[in-house]
Amino acid sequence: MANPFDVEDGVFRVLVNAAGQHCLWPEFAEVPAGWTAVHGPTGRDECLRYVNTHWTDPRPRRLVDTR
Amino acid sequence: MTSTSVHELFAEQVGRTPDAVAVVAGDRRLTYRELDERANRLAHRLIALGVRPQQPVAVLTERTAELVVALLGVLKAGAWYLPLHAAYPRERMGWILDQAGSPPLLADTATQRRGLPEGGTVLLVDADAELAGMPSTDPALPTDPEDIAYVMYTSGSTGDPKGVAIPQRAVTRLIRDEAWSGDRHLRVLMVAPYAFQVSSYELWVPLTRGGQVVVGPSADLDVATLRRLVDTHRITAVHLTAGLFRVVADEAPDCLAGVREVMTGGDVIAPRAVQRVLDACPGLVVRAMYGSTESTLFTTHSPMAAPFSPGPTVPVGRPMDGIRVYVLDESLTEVAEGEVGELYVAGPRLARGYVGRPDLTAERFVADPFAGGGERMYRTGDLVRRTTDGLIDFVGRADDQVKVRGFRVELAEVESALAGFPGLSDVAVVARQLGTGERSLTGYVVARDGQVDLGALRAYAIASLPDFMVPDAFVALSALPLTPNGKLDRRALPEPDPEAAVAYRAPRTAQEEILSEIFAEVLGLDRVGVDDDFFQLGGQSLLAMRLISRIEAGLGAKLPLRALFEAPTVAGLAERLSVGADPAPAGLR
Repeated sequence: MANPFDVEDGVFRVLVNAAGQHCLWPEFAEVPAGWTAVHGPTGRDECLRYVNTHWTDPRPRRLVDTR
Repeated sequence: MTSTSVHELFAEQVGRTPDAVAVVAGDRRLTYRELDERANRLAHRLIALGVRPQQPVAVLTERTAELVVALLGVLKAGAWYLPLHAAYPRERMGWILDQAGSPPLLADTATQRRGLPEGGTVLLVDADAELAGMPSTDPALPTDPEDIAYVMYTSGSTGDPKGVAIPQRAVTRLIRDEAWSGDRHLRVLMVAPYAFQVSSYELWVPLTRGGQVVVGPSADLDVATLRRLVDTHRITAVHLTAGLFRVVADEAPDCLAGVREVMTGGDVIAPRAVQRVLDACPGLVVRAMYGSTESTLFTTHSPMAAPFSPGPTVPVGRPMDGIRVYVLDESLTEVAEGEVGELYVAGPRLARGYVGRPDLTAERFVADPFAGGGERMYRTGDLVRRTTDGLIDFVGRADDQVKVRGFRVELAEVESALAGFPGLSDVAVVARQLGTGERSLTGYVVARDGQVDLGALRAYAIASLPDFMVPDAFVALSALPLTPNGKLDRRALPEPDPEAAVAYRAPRTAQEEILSEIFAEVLGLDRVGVDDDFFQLGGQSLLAMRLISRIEAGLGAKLPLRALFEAPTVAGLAERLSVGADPAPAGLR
């Protein structure tokens, strides 16, 4: 069974939630409540490159703001 | 105020039972107050060394009372602990420390004597002269539930280990779970390597509930030691890996009599082993556990008691408090009851992610489409089904990550380590399921000039990998078999050939005679020559433990498991035994 997140030639978006956490999301699935698409739809590698350059602080946003 | 951190929950317990025994290690006892004061001194010492909140502090010690002080002291300093596994080769430790920016290292005189990895400032927790002069009061630094408590490394698919960052929130939710209430988790035996997350249960559940941590020996646990510890310390609860649980069930299930709860998991649990243990100890609860580092240890659990009628599998049960589990198909839709799907886990026990790897975090911790509110779910890579009773039943791994002796191993990581051996052009590692249900790794190699010294390759693997990642057998091939579309054809790989063993040579001494009988018995063979390689004959890690335990019973000689990896023949072990048993049985593990 191929996991939809592992399909190398699939089409994906990058989603972000209020905490600033990023995730990969397959294009075929609806964007879940509480998440916003910030990149794509595009290739998997391109999405992961976007994540690596834009999600530079792993802390939830609340912590970043208070410290 | 509700406590937001592990060390605050501990401090509350110190207030409730200051004079109760918190830690037992050999003849040593620490009360809650003593443990608290020692950890406070260490925290002040770390702060004086320049450690600031939310910085890493590495830990590499023997399994001692000081280890408990060290982990607690790091948390009290507001830092997070980075436990190193003594079985890791020094280069692997060095790599991990490098990634963490060469943090301070808490070690002890024993680990220092064996050689510490290169890194930052070293502080010996059992010999530091400054510690005694530090204040014994709590530094009482503010903490946030999202602060990191520790980072644990697991096998990584890119060939590098992955550091999983666990927030305080996740640990406090684990230790407050209803599963631990009552009187079953009062005296807990600490036997897991502290670099693995089971140690979070073993330490923080008893220490935040007024119980005792009984610190087991640093060496691998064997059945005789387990029996002695259970009896001496009236252990009420212990976690055993599925493999060790099976060995105990086969060899001496009665040694768990008196224990109130035994948890087991980390690999497929044998129904027959559960039955044997419950038959021998009718008062016992055996709790099947399933989980992953990324969801802070245990995710689901299933308590079992006598009378027990074994089914074809042991389901891993229902989610722990606050955890949501989804069984999904390729379109992220929930599958019907009884159908196989991939398990996704959501809720307050999720890790923050992988240290320094936003890409990997983004592909494993994904949006939860069912909860709303921007929550995440972790995709485990495990295939499961729901039984008619609503229990989760583990079916297998979705990718090629396998469990060996309860440890998670990505085959790609073993392959990338073996590929470092000079002269190889191709490497493949596969996991086979043996008749016993155990997984055994076989390494296939292709030499550039057709010649490869498999003995030297094994030695190389032992030097560069933790022992559970060292293949049990190596096979040299002229080329790797490929499928029509150019992928490795795993099914076409030949099984390791026991016939390839060297010519039979009979035992020459009484000792070799006994050893050869033990080898044959454990391997299920008619005879074993003195030069026959245990692993080439199909021996694997758990059979190795059994062999060591039988040698101890038959010859009264204690050998470390590692001796067998280094000298896997009757003749080799006989030589080891004749120069005397290993002077440091705790060594290297």
